[in-house]
Amino acid sequence: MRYTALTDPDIASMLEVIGADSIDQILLEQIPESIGIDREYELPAESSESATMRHMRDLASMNTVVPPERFFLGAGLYRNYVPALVKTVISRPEFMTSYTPYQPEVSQGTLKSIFDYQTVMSELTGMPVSNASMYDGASSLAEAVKLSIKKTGRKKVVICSATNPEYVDTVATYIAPLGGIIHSIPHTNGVTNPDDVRECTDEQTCCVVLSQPNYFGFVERAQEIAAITKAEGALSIAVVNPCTLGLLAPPGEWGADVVVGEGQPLGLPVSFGGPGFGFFLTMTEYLRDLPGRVCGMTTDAEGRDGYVLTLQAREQHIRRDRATSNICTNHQLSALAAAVYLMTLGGKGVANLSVGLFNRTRWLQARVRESENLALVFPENTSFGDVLIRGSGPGVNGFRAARAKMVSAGFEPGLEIGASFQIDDGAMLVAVNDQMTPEDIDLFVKTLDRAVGGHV
Amino acid sequence: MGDGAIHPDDRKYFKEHEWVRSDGANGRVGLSAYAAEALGDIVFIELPDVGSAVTATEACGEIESVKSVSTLHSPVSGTVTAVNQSAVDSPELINSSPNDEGWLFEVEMSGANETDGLMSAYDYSAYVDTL
Amino acid sequence: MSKSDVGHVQSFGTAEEARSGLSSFDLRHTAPDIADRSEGELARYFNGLADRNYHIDKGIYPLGSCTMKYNPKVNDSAAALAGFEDIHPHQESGGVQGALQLIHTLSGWLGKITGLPAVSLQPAAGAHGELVGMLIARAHFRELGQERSTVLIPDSAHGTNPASATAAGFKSVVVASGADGLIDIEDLQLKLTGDVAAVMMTNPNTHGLFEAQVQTVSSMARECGALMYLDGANLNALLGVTDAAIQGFDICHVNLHKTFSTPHGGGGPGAGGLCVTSQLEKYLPDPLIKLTESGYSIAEGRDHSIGRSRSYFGNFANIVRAYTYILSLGPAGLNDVGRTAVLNANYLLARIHPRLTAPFGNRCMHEFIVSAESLKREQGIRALDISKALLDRGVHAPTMYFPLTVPEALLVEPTETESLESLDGFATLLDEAVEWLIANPSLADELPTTTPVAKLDEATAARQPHLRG
Repeated sequence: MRYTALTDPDIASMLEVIGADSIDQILLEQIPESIGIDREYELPAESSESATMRHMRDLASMNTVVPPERFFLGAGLYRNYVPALVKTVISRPEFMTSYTPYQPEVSQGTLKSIFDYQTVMSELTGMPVSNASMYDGASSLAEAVKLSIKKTGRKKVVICSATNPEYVDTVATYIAPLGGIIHSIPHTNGVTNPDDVRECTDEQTCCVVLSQPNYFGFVERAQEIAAITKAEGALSIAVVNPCTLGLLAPPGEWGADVVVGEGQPLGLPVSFGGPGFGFFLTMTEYLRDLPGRVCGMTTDAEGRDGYVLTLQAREQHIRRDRATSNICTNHQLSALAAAVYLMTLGGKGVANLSVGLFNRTRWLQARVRESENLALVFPENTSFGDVLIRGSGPGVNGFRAARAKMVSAGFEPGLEIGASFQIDDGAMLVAVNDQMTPEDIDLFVKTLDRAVGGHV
Repeated sequence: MGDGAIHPDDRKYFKEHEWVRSDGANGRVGLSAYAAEALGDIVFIELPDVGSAVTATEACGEIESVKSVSTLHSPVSGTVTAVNQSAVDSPELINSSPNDEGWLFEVEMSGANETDGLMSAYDYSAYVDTL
Repeated sequence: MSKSDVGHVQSFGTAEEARSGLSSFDLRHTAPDIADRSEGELARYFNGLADRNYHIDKGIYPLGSCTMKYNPKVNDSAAALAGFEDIHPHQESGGVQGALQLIHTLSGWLGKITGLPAVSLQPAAGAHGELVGMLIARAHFRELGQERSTVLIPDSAHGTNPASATAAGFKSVVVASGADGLIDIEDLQLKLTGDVAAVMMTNPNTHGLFEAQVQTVSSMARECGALMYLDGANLNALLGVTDAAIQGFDICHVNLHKTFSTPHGGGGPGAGGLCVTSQLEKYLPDPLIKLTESGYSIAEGRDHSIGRSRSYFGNFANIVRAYTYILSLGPAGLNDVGRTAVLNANYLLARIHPRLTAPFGNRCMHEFIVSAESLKREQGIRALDISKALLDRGVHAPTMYFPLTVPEALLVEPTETESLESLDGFATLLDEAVEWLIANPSLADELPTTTPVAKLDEATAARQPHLRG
């Protein structure tokens, strides 16, 4: 009742205009008796706003919240600082409660913000064309792989194995009906050996998926791998961590044909995994194969700049069964957050963000090297953002026991991933974020070192 | 729209709104003025490749307007010998001059009787009046 | 004042030190070209953009099939709690019991509301739910060893239906609607062969009509071994009225951002929700949340699952919002939602301008179609013109030119949250718009004139795409 506005006299006068005795009569004129019109759900009775919030707070308090400076879990989602302006802008009802901008004359705010988003994402990745957003990094990658199957007519999907397993699983789900087959290239000491790509990639290959940095945080030999990919006529698909691109070469420069990834670290909370957004950028050549919405600049009848959703003939509402994708609703508000975030930082701020994360990564690695009971896994590689570590020394194996100690010391220590990636003696993926000070990282490594070593 | 002048009688018409003007051996294909008007602003076209075979009544390309996409059918069978690059680059030509400058592609026809089953301008104009 | 944390950055080392740690191949050589603007400038910039948007907190948003209802603010307050916002999906399940309980409970509630008890909240949107549902149909028939390649879809369906069927490897065959706006049973009979994997319906359909023969369709499909899929986009009409199971559906997606009031965000994020019979539960995507003796646990790598359809558990913040909404309303409140939505739509239909025709009579469910066909024939006034004339009068237009079955269609869905005053206001503005156009048909092409921008050149936008600044 709280969200409907009609009074009993309103209802009576409306029924009179309609020419019906009751709402039930209107329903019964349309719905057969065998179906019925009266369902009483077995659900909790209605609750006041304050009681509702009390219940929600109780539920929320059952979850362990760790402050970002003690939160060393990443693996694709990161607790970077979200500038206050981002939250203010995306909370405005004009952005939050508007629909898809199908009537462009009264949706210029949303449309211009999509255009801004496309612009800053193009700058960040070095790619000419961005769509307006996808659901998440995983589904964005799946759509990229589908694009490669469609464009090449080939079905062999080569994925460098140090890729987020959630993403690989999603690709498998999406391409099964197309007959696509995933060929995984095992990592060699944590990174992809370009020779393995050369061996695996052939005239049947539609794409090679490379994560840069990869799932373990290691920087890959991306340029070489892209060149090998393209020599076979396959598409080079890059999965990137957008926070590294202020320092790492943009994939548009090293030869990626499609760039995808998870946008959450650009101004959004982790929110138990959603909603963030997927970004999807490509070359002009594949403009008409883009999935989802895209915004274009044009002019109005008076010659002023204006913005519209464009190239809509690709989309499901027009092309129906032959659409480039079935996506309709995307993650617009999340993409807006990213646009505000990147514009708040500016180009120099983005560079600083990446430098800060990379130097924190190196700081953490140095502390691990100095520790008694911890070691870097594959220390010869360059890490960015995520760091793969393991326990080292007599009587140390894995992190299971240490994890509980870390949690009770107020840390979220990271993700154990050893077994699923054929990495010996267990390993833990830990990540830095931009809210950590040197003291935070020092304390974390020291505490973990002691916990792994059997001390408290 | 029954005005015969907008559907010139020097050519034949297919019911999916393509015209073909032929000399018996070669045919030039375009979109009818009726269809160009009905589709509205055409923004993109996809034509068959030069050298490819097209079959009468079958799909051979696509025409996109702002809010629609339509299948382009070949009115005749044969081998594509040319496409109108100007129309590909500036699809608005199809709206402004569907009968002349906005032609789509040329075909070396499989036989001289390829156009036999097609409508005259008069019949086509009468046909579109019923739509 | 800098907006990034220079203090911290410098304490970890300089940019030069960072660059020395990477090979020159891997280095970015110029910073991204994103202007450096002060926070104040940006606040004004984005607030200026906001001023150029219509939105539900401003006024009626009667887009048919979109269910633009008011979004209660308490939902957002709940989603913003740190215990929801700051938890990571890879935290150990013992530390996220509240989140798992919430997902599990909402799944149960949606199971009760749809009558289909097995639920996944992983889909990110309605179309994503359709894809997952179609993949489940595919998995089901593969397990039965049956090759079925067709999905039957009425001509009034959303474009996502055939697109999702294609994405799951099916070919779509269109079933006609009869003159009454309901599925043509004879045409269905003709097309319902052993090759059909599923019949995909929307009920109420996009004509705003309840498919009264839905149980007949279901038994025909069942006899033929096909599954019944319900596109739940129009579920709002059925709250407290009926459910998917009684109608004979096996699979149904729910749009949390329509029926359960999570904000649309200018195009998303939404949240799907896929409900299936217990027989089909094994195919639901990974992961599922189970209640065990030791609390809520995460089940993944399940034998028959179609796999992951995206990462993690779904759009959790919207799952929190939808949970909050259902908790606030309770069964009586939900009952009121469906009935009020139907009342509001029927009232507006009764008040519609006489020059607009209602092709399917004077009754509807939560939305209705009117056609401007006779206005177009007689005076050249199109549905587009009426829409733009409404924008000029400060309200949002209905959905136009959808469904494709009715020429010059306007699909109107007021939703239950509009007051009588708001409905009357809209009806009056629609009258004014039609009258104005009848008086000024030659000016129709110049509309709108009072909006932040005038008519936009969409053809040039598509011919010469200009997609970034």
